Amino acid sequence: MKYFLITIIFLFSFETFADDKINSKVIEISKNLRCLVCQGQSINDSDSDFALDVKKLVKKNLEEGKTDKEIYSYLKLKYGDWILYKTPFNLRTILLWLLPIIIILFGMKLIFRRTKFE
Amino acid sequence: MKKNKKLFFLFITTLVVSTIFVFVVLTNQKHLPSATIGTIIEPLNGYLVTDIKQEKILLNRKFKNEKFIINIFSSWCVPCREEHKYLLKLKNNNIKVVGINYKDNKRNMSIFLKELGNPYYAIVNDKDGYQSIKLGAFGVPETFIIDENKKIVLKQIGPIDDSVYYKFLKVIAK
Amino acid sequence: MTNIIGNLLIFFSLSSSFASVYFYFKKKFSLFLKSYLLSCLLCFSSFLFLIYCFVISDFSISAVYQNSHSTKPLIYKIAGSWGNHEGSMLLFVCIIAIYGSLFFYSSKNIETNFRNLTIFFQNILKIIFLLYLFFLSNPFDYIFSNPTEGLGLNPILQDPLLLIHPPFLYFGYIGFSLVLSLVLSGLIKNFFDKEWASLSKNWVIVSWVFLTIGILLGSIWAYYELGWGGYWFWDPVENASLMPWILSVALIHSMLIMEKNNTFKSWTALLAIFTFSLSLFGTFLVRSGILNSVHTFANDPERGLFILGIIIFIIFFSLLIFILKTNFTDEKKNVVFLSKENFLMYNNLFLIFFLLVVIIGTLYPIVLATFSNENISVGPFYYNTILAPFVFIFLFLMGTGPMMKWYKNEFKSKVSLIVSAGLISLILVLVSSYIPKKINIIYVLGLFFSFYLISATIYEIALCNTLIKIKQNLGRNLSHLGFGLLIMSITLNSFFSKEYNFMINLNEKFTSDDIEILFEDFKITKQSNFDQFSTKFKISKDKETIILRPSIRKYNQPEQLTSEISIKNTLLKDFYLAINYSSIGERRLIGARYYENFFILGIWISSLIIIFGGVSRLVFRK
Repeated sequence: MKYFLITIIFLFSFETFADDKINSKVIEISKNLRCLVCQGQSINDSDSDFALDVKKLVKKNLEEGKTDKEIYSYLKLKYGDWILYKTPFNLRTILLWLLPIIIILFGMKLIFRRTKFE
Repeated sequence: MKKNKKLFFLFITTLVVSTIFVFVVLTNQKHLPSATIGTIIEPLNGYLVTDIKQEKILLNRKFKNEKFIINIFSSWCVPCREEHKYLLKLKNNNIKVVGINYKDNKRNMSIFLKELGNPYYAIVNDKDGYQSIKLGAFGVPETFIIDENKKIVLKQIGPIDDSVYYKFLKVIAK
Repeated sequence: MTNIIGNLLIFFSLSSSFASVYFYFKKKFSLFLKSYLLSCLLCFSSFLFLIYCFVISDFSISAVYQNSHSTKPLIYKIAGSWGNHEGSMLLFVCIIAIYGSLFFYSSKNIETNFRNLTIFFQNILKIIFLLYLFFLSNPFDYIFSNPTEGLGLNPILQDPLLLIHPPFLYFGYIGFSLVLSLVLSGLIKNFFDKEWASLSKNWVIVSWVFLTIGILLGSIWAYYELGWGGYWFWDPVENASLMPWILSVALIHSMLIMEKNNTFKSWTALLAIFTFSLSLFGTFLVRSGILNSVHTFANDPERGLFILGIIIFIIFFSLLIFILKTNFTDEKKNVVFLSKENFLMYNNLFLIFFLLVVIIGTLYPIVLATFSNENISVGPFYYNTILAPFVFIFLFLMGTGPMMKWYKNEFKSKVSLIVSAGLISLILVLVSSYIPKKINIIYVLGLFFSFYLISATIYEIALCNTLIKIKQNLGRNLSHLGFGLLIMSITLNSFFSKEYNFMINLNEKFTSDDIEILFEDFKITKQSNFDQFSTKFKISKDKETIILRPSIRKYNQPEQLTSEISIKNTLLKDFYLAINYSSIGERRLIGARYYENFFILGIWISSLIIIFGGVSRLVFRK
């Protein structure tokens, strides 16, 4: 029983963490990635195999000196925009970003029309 | 007059909005999107763990002008056992299947293959999951068909069953 | 046998509801009310009976079989009755009935025609959901195989907070059903005026208080149970509860104008109609399974479609009455620039804006995926980027608005006040920017504007010189103060909090920055419904040492692993440690997440102040 529980609990080996800066960078990047196999969690929040793999990959890439941009675009290549919680601004998301601005401007116009300036 | 206009507007909006929502609910399948379909596969590097050869495998160099299959598996993965007989069938049809052994150890894997038979032409060890990420995989089991130009043409998430097997044969025969 | 009793109770409740409709049209009003009350009573008893089935573990009933287990503690057996779709729908209908009966008992002095029609609409809503329940989501469905043991309740839901979270949320959502009935009947019976507003405002505030408590409980639960160190994730299900909340705040403020000068009537009516619709919309989103959320514990697309049908029917019918019955001539009156009403208009504009951002963020990916097969993800980054600048302006308006006068522009006389509140905030920001090594723009702006709201509100409180004035304004002042404190705490929290993820072996040490974490010990214990793997970690920082004991539980019914976090709360920050369990491996390492979360206590307390604001408005109403 004891060992069964331990084997379930204990995770796959990680190499020892060396650099604090890289660690906080890993957290920052993996917060902006979606864990695709777990319903609506970020990679950082998840402990699924998939999330652990991606975290390790991000760390490895950072240690090899790759930039955030390169890491994001590599993962985007493999999994599409879906993996990016940092929603990009492009043709597909143009309405997502602009609609709120249009709404507030339109609303201000409506209020101005009903306002008496003395 | 103005009221009629409003009523008309109400009817139309209700109709449009409800159609959109019904459509969304009905067509909503939680399919996992596959960005890698249609892309050329990256060379896989890992150690070959079968008795064929002990060398780094660079899949671009092997498999000249033929279609082949990549299957991600693991001895601890239960659905992998279910789909195993289909992989053996593919092997019997002279289709090369490359196995990616996901987060497994060699001993468990050999027991697994001894028990169920070895359908693999070559097996790549994927200790840390990077090879699976190269293919855009989410977990085990997943199966990919690669065409003559090293392009991923089909992706199966989850175990192979009868219908998937026949789909595979069709795609490979093309 | 039990399933027959349950079904009969629901059936009789339905029949007497129908009888009540019949008597209404026959103008036999005393019978109408009596049969309505009888149907409510039957509805309550069916829910009590369901609880009874859960308590005695009657597994011949499918809802019990699927969500309960004989070894479960009694309290979770009871909670199991609303921890599933069928049972929660019965609770839903019961709460509609509770609001209807409460209205009946508290409205003896108001105009009878209006009162009867309100109860009539409340009855119609009850019938709609009872029919849905009876035919599509019956909690008393029978299992022929007669199982001897149940499947158990998802262990992540076995938590005291989650016991009371859904009922509070439901009392919030469904309170707006009564508001909807009040609007419809007010419109039809020409009772939609100042008097209506002051009567209905109390019901809106009651529901709003419940909803706020419900959301707060959910947030506290997520913080203590999910183990990700956060309290709000911009998850679609969380957003679904935020939508009616935002709109109800707008409704309360628009009712203020209507109560004061009898304008803004159509706007108020629309807000009320959509507040209830959005409450239902949340249920639809969760149940239809179109969301990717951590909270989708159960879903069923077919039921989702029926709920969608109900929502569309309710919106359509309400808007139909709205269009046919509104004929307000005074609506076109203009509002004086910088008067109190003007500020309230901007309040509504901003709230609608926040609401639409949440709706767009939640629905855009779903609609895009349906029509273009492109999958995108919308997360905290989107909401924070879009909302933050507008929240800052909103805080300024929120602090300034209450200083203004109704009907006239007296902004000039208040300029000195606004400037001095601004100066105080500036000094406070300078002081608080001195503490951290580096600062960013969001930190500075977030603090400045929340300090502004706080100081302006404190000034407002100080201005109340008589007891009556204090009482009259307490609701607003507390809620506004709480909101200022909330944004302040959130800003500080997001700026100062730290997070470390690491793998550790027994007797190993993890060091980073100035902290040292030692994995000292572990033990395994057995409990009635789970095995527990408990650990002991020693955390040293600045010569201070604390012990944290996170654990992992393996529940047996159903078999599932959960991570129990360990927290040490202090006034300023929480030391938060969670360990994880997911994968099978060879080396004996344990995955740990360590967080230092700042001002969490501040977030909970400021939310409580907001809630007290609502409560005190109800207690000290005019």
